[in-house]
Amino acid sequence: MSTSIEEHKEIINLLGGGKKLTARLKVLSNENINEKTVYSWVRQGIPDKWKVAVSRCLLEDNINITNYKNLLPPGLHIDNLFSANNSIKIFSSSKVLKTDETILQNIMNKEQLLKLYEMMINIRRFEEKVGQFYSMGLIGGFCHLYIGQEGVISGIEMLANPSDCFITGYRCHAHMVTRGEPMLNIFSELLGNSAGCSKGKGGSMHMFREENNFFGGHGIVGAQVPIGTGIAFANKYKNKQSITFTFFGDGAVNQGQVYEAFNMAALWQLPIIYIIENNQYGMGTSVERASAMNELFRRGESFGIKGYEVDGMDPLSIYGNLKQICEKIREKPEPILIEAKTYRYRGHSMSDPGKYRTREEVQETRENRDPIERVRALLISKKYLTEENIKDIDKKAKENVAKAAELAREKEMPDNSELYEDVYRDLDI
Amino acid sequence: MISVRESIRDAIAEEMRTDPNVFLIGEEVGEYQGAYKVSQGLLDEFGPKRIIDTPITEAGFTGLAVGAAMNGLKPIVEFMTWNFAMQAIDHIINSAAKTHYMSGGKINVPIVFRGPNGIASRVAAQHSQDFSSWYSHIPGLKVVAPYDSTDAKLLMKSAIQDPNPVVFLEHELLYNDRFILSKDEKKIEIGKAKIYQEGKDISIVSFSRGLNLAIKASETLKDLNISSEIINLRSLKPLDKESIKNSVKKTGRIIIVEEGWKEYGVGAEIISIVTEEIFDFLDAEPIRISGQDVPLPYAENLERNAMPLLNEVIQKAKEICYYNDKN
Repeated sequence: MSTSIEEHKEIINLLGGGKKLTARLKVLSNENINEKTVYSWVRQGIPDKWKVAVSRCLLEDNINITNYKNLLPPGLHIDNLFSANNSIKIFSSSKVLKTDETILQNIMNKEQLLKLYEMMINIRRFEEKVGQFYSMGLIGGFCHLYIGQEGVISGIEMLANPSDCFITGYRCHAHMVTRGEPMLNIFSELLGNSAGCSKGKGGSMHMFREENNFFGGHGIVGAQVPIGTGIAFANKYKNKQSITFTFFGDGAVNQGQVYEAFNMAALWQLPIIYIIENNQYGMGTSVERASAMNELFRRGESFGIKGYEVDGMDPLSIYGNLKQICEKIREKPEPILIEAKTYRYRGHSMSDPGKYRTREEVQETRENRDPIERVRALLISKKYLTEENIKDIDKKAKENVAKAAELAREKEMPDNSELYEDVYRDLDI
Repeated sequence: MISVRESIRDAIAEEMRTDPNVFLIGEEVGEYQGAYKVSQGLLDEFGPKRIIDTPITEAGFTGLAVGAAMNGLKPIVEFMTWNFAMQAIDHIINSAAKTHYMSGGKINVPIVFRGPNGIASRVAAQHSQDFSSWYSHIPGLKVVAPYDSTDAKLLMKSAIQDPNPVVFLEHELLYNDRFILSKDEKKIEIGKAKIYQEGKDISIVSFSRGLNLAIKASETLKDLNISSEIINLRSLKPLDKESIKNSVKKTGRIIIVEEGWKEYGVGAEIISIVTEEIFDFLDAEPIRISGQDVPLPYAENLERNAMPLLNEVIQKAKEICYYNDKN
C-alpha cells in the first residue's frame, strides 16, 4: 500500500502535472493559488483544503477515485462528492478533534479534576433521583434525563466565564444544576410546587436561571438555536465579551430555523458556540435514519462556520478543545459548531419503549465510555484521591440530592391565585 | 397633518433616541428604507448597528430578536407584511408570549412585532389577510391596531416602552392617510379604547381601517336622524370591555365592523362579551359586518365584495334601529 504522499504524487501526474493542475484549480475554486504551492504537494502531499477540488478533477477525467484511499479528507465519503455536483468549493476546515491521551490526562490540575468530578456526580445523582420520583408518579408530563451526557455540560462549565450565556432544549435539568440553581428549587419545579424555580409553571422543560445567564429550558425542538443566536447578538451589541453556548440535539439539526440562525451568526460574526449534543437518537430515530449527511459537525460549512467533532463522553477533551476555541472567539468573535458525540443511557423521555436500540449497545457505552468513570479512574491513577475519598464524595452527593428531594416534597402546591400571575410583566418593573 | 407612515417612523425614532437598547430589525428596513417606507431615514440617523437589514429569514430573525430581548435589548421586528410572520409564528407565540409565564416571571420579552396587516390591494389571498383575531387569542401577547396618526404614534411609543411582547398591526392602505396629531393626548395606554364620536342610538365598534367604514356610515345615518357612537378600539388585547359595555348600555345596539373573517373573529368575541355580561341592555340583536369567508380573490369586483361594505353597515344599522325607509 502506498503512502499518502506517493499516492498524491501519482494523482498530480495523472492530472497532467503541477502546472496544468494549478490552472484547473484556479478555475474551480476561483482562488488565486500559485504553481509553486501545487508543486510543493508532490513532496508534502495535498492539504485537506484542496483534496475535494483535486478529487473533482479526477472525477471529471473519469479516473476511478476509489483507488486513492488517502485523497478524500477525513469525514468525506465518495458518495458525498458525487452528489456535491455544484458544490466543488467545499474547502472544509471542519475536522474531528482527537487529542493525545497524555495531553488530556494533564489538562486539568487536581482542583479542577475534583470540581469536574463533583459536578458530574451531582448531575447523575440528581437525575437518578428525578427518575425515581417520576416512577413514583410524583412528576407529571414529560421528563428527559441527562444521564450519560454529563461530560458535555461539565467540560464546558469548567472553561466558561461568569458572563458567558447558556441556552438549551428541553433536556435542561443538568444545565440548571451546573448554573448554580439550588437543587431544592429544581426538584420543586419538577414536583410542581410553590418553591419551584419557575413557581411550578414551567415544569421539566422550562427552567431558567437568569442571574447566571441561563436562558432556559425550551420545549420546541430547535427554537433555542435562533434565540441563542439573539442572545449572542445582544452581547455583541452591548460590546460584552461573553460567549453564548447554545445546545441542541441531533434531532434538532434538521430544523430549518437552525440554518437560518447559522446564516445570520456567520453574516454578523456573532460570538456563539453551537453545541450539537449528538446522543445518537432523536427520540427513537437514529442519526442515520434522520440525517442524509450525518457528519453533523460539518453542517455549518456552507455558511463558513468551522465545525469540530469532539468526544462528548470525555469532559477532558471537551474542555481542552473548547478552551482553545473560546480563547480565539473572545479575541475575534465568530460562530463555531461543535458536535459532541455523546450517549444517553436512559430513554428519550420516561415513556421510552427502548425498542430502537439494543441493551448491549447501552451496556457497552456505559462500561467503556462513561464520563464519570473516566475522571474517577484518572483521579485515582494520579493518586489525587483514594477509592475511599471517592466513596465519600459519592456519598455526600447522594445525601445532598436526597436532602433537597425530601425538602422539596414538603413544599406547598402553588397558591391558586398564582394561576393568573406572570402572564404579563407589570409596566412599572 | 401627518401621515400614519411618518407617525410610526417618528415614534420609533423618538424611542431610539431615548433608549440605546431599542433597535429595528427586518427585511429591507435599512438601505432600501423599508418596503413600505416606514423606516425612511432611520438608517441615516441611527446607522447599521441599530437599523438592521436581515436576510429573508422570518423564523430566524424573529427567534434572534426574541433572544436579544431576553438578554436586555428592546427589538422592534418589522415583518414586510404580517402574512410572512406565519413563518415565524412559533417564536411569537411559544417563545415570546409564553416565556414570562413559564419562567415564573423571571424572563420577560420586551419586543414589538410590527408591519402591515389586513386587506391590501389586489395582491390575492397569500398577501392579504387580517391576523387580528389570531394574535388576540394568545395570553401573553398585547395586540394593538392603530387607525389614525395619533394612534400610530402614541401606541408605537407605548408598545416600545412595554416590557411585554406587543403585536402592532398596521394597515397598508392607511399608511398614506394624513391626520392632525392630537394636541390633547400625550400618551395612549395599551388596553384603552377611544370614543371616536359620541352618540346615543347605536354603537359602532371598529379598529384600524374598519374605522373608515364606521365614520362614513355614521354620516349617512346622521342624515336619517340616527346618532352613532363610534368606538375606536385601538387595543385588541387587552380589550377595553368597559368602554364597549358603557356605550352599549347607553345605545342598546351594537355593530362591529372588521376586515377579518367572521367565524371566530374579533366581532364574535365582542358580541359574546356584550351578550354574556349586559344582555339585558340590548334592544336589538348584535351585528357583525366582516370580510367574507373566502381567501381574498384578485379580481377587482370579487375583492371588493369580499370586504366589509359600507352599504351593509348602513343597512344593518337601519334594521336594528327599526328605521323604516318609507318614513
